[in-house]
Amino acid sequence: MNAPIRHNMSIMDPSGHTTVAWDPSVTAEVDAARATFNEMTGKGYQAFHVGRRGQQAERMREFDPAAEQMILIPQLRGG
Amino acid sequence: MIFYYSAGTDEWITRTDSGTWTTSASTTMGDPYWALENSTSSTGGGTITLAQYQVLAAQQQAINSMLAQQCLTTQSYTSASNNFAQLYQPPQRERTPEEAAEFIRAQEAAQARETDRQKAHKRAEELLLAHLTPAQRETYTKNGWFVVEGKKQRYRIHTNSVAGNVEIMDTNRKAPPRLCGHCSSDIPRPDQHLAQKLMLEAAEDDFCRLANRS
Repeated sequence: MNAPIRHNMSIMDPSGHTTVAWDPSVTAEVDAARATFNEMTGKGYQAFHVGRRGQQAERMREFDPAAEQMILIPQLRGG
Repeated sequence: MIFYYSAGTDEWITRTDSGTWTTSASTTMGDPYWALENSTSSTGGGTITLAQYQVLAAQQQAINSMLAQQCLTTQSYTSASNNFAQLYQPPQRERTPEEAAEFIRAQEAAQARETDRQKAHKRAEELLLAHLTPAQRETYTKNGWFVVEGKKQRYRIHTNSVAGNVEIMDTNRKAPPRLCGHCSSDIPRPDQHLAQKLMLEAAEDDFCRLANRS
């Protein structure tokens, strides 16, 4: 039996980050992850699809359940 | 320069703008502390105003053994030093059992906060390292910076700060320009650097537009 695939999004916060994981083949988990994604981006967080080993990131405007790893960052401002 | 009184170590300690704590005895921030803020907030000397001192003096727990003279020798201030001598009268008594218990509770709470802060920093650093290339990881570890390739320019992210820490490379200038853009301050520093990296790679124009330049 194959192990379930786990995709995840790391949401930066004061604890370092909070991780939300989902199996792209499980609708309920995908929906929950999408809801979190929309909630955080609605608050101004920006989402990036990241690869492994520091590969170039890509900005995400919409939730993509096929994206294996995402990082959500709070809004940046000029210092 | 900001002064903090450490009730646990019974001494004044200072915190520079870069976040470094200096004290004659310890850098452990496991104690409750109260701020006496330098009105100029500069890195040099300044003036401690009478009003600010009075706010601090109202917090008796903070100054049951305040070392005013030590404070004055820690950082020179151009004025108001006489006000310390005039206003401050250290109470000559032991803590009551209730005060001692409260002090211990406050100390434990502060220690717990510091432990949480360290855990968060470690967690954030692990996330950052997981998203650096081997070359970036090497310079991060050895030199405290790493280079990010934007679509238009290259940037060096210095990790000793989150403000003014993004250096624009390849400008042939003796003092390369720097960009200052960061998230709200309550996320750990390594998260800030990762956020800067992601923006520069994938939203370079947006970062350059929002960042202040020096």
